[in-house]
Amino acid sequence: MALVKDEQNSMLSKIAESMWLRPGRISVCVALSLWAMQGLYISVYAVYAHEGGTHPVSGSPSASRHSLLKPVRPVDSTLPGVKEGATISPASESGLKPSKKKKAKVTIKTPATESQRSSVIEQTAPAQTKMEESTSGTKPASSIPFGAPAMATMMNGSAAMAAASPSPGSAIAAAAPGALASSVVGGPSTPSNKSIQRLSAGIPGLTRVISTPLPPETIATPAPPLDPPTSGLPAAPANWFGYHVLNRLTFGGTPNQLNTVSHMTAAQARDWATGYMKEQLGLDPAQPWPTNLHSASLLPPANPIVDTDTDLRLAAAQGAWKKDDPEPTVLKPELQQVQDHDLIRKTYSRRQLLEKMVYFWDNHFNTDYRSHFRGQYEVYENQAFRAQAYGRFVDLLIASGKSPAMMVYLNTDVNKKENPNENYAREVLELHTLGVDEQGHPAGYTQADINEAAKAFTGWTVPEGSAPGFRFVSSRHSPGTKTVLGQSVAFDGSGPTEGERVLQILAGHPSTARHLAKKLCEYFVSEAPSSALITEVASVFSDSGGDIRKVLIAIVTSPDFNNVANYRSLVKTPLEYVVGLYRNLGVWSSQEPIRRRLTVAGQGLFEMPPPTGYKEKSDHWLNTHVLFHETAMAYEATIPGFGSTVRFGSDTSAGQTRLWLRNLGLRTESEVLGFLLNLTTDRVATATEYQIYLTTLRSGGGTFNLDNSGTEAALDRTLASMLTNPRYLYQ
Amino acid sequence: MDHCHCCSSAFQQVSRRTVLKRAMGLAATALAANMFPLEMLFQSRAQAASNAGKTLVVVFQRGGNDGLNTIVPYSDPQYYVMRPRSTNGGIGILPPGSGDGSGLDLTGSGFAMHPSLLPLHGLYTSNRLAVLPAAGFAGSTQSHFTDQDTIEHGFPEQRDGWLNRYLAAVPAAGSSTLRAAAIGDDVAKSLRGTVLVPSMTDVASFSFARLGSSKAALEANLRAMYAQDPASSTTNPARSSVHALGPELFNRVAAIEGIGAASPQNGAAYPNSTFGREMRDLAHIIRSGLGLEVATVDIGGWDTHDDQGAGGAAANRQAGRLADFSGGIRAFVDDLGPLMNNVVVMTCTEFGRTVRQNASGGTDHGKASAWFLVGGSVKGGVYKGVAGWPSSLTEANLDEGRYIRPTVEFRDIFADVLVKHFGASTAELGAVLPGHVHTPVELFV
Repeated sequence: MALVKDEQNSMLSKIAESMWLRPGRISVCVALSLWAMQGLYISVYAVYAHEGGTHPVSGSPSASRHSLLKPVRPVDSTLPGVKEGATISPASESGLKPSKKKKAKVTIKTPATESQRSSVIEQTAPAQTKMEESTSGTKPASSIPFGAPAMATMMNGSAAMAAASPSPGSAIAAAAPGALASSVVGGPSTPSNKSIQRLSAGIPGLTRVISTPLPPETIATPAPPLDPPTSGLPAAPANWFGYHVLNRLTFGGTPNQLNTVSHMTAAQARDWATGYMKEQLGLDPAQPWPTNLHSASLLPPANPIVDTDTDLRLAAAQGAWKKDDPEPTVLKPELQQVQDHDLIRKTYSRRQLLEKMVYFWDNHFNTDYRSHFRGQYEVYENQAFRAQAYGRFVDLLIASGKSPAMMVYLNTDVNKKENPNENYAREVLELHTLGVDEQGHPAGYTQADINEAAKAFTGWTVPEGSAPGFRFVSSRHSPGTKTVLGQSVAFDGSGPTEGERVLQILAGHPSTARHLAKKLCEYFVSEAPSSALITEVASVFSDSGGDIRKVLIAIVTSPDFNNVANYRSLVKTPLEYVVGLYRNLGVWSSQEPIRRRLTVAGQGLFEMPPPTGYKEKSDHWLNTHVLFHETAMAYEATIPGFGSTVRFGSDTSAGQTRLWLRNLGLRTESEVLGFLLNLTTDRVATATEYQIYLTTLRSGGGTFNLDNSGTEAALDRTLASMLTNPRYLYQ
Repeated sequence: MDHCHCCSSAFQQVSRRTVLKRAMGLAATALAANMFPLEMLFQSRAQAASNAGKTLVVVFQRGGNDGLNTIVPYSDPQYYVMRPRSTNGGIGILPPGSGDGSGLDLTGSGFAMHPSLLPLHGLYTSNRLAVLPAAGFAGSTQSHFTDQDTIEHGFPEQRDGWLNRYLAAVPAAGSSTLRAAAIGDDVAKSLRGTVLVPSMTDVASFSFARLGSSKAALEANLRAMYAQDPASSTTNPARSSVHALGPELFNRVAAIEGIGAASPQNGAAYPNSTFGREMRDLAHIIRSGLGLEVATVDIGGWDTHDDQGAGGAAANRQAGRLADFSGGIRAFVDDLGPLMNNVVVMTCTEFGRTVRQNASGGTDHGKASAWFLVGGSVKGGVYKGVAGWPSSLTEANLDEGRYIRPTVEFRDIFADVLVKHFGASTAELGAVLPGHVHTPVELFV
């Protein structure tokens, strides 16, 4: 089945692109999103660009300059009180007038339905756009559009950061819109045809109608039937590499992706997966892997992946964010809203590897919402990691160190010359850069390095007010030359360069390369990566100047990653389990069940108190508490009445799995088991497991028949059993 | 108690194997009689072990509690040089009797408690609370994670937990449905090792009852899948630990479902906090007779690099944590009442903090800190160790000029508990703390 073409509905992204990165300008893009369940609703997407070099993370604005910034933050919030279809001119509220209309074509195709019919709606969607000089004459240094709702906006904010970064090599993948993703994978969700027609009928200027929640993606031809396996240890499937790449480089394969892989031969799967990896890394799938990993020469700029559907979901979620009081120009999301926003990306983003890396960095540079209670700080930092996720490590490190979430969390904001606060200095050495050896001893630093580094960071703090950003207070800065790891850092009382210099020294240390290489190999390859792999990846890290995209290429092209011995060899973290469950089943209802489950299971996003971040290794997650919550999540998704309602399947199946399967043309036991096992365990099952599923499938009335109403409960129990099979704990 | 759920065949099988492996003893409870063949219940040890009916609860204050403002050497003027009085803008705890925010005198010791430890002060004055103001170990690294590991493993070079080695080395005195439990999101490192120990939070919700009519079939399917030989079902390196976990989960859920919700006794007033609820659940499990012998509970928030505060009007980060900590322990002691004769609560923290406060009203990572024990036959008092407390907190008297030097080694505290509370033999002690030469702290009567 053909999928929606992204370039045709990337209106938002195109608009943003057309006016992006004009120095010193504010760009405001207005789009309308409406959804059926709550009447009409208008969101305003504001995009804020600024001159390179003053970015609070990569640049170094002065304290006095920052103090002027508060009043000029853009209007980038969803305006309250505009439900019920009110007409509103958000541009006028921000002092801007619409000047130009832009047309965009939206092509929407229905998901596979009972009749297999599809239809296309084309709409002319005017979008109000305007670019205008900042009226205050003050350059907006706090420029990350943390309040901007759409991914398109955020990705462009990321581009702004990358452009402002001192490193030309930190240009990021997937930062700019406009390019096409593979037509094979990750088809976007499509709205219900009827709801679009109904809503669009009376609404001029409609850009895009989405229902709440978005319905499921269109899926490729269901996996082939599966006959009972022979007894004994099941072998990896011939096309294992296709599954392997989805298991490791994404938060789980979607029904569409998994169906697609299921029909492939070994060679087809390898070709497809290789292309997918290149595409995810922003490389041309038609070109061979780059060969300049061990050099400082740059990779080709990353091709972006457009993902308008995720943008729309994010925009819808952001509609509920409240303005800060007393600073209404700042959006202040609650913790749960920040978590949901991030879970939407993890669940639906087509930039899956990027999101895997954003999680890696957010966890590596862990901060706790409860240390500051400002959702905007976490969103701002999360976007900085998204912007730099494929960039240079030193830029990520500096972005983290100067982010307000980190500065409050590890006390940089109160670090003063009189008696420096060692908190950040210690953890940046122990956790973020050099690390400790197997015995827990510092890998190349001493208490004296901690003391000296702490002095270099004195004077760094957060802006006044609640907007995220960075401020340097020279009167708090410690005098004199500092010596860190044997290198002297000259006194600079006028800016944050001493601390930045310290971070550069740490980022360039060989222990840092090894520490990061090991952690990334554990994340993507194996709990016990071979020393050859770690050495090779650390060497690419050092030789490339910490180019993360090169490091990732080194990992995914390594013999270890490509070895079937590492297939399904990692134990999922709770995050990987619950998000994977959502992706594997194609869940299209709210993120709330997995958000709540993660928090009680002990992996709530943005709420890990210790600076270690969450562990990856299985010994931290293989316990009864975690298994209880993972098992309960599987039951919540499948067994009515156990927990909240979780929707998957087609939106025409009314929550009935048997209708969904019938609509897909699945009839027999082996067809149903082939399809469901493909969604859960790559079609791998022992003879015993297959028999358990078969027996359960028949428990609705003796024989299996989709027309039998008792089969619904039998299907629920079959799927619950697949999801609670120990096999499903692995990825 | 209704134990029908636990009587599925897989549960009996696992429990029976566990019982045999631990060379079980007498103590036939009604629960056990329901579940195990009678002959197994009479394979007793020659004599009842002194760990019979005993429980140890280890509370870990994660983050490095500042011992100096917990047990305050107020009689040393140098303390107020390093930490000016809170009435002068510092974080120094005021001497007893100085009005709002004054320390609580530990009469005759020269120390006072932080005023937020009021719930524990009564335990001290009734001679039930052991106070160790300078517990720790030589060679601490000031890294939270390395030092926590050292304490929980017993030694830097050990890779499994000291409490897990205890469970492996010392058989239970009777049958137990839940011999050990980690209360929390994961299993504390002290309880990780060869013996599988469950972790759990929130006893009331640890149930699959809402599966209704699907429960029996789903549990049967899950047990059957986990019961497969791991080696012939997957090549995953973690397969053995994974396969042990499924039946373990359903067995633990059945046990917990069987004891119902907690109902505190004796007017015990738990703080409305995670720690308060976890201590309440623990008291409930102990009273319910599941045979709980070792449990761990965590309480975080001690890494007070800034805004540490003092007492009274100057209270800030640390005061709130100490109130939760002391309130939870006191309620637990009240709740269990006379049962505390068989229960010891021991508190640990990975390190104390710098003696001199920093410029952000906090303290940085240090060395020795304050540990507490209460319950069982613990002797109340202040234990300063052989080397004693420094005569004055001058830099010359401090470790590296900035830290409190440990005077009581944590392994000696562990060994006192093992020998005196659990009655561990010399061989058993050697298995739990291999190579350690025990210098008794004499914490017990």
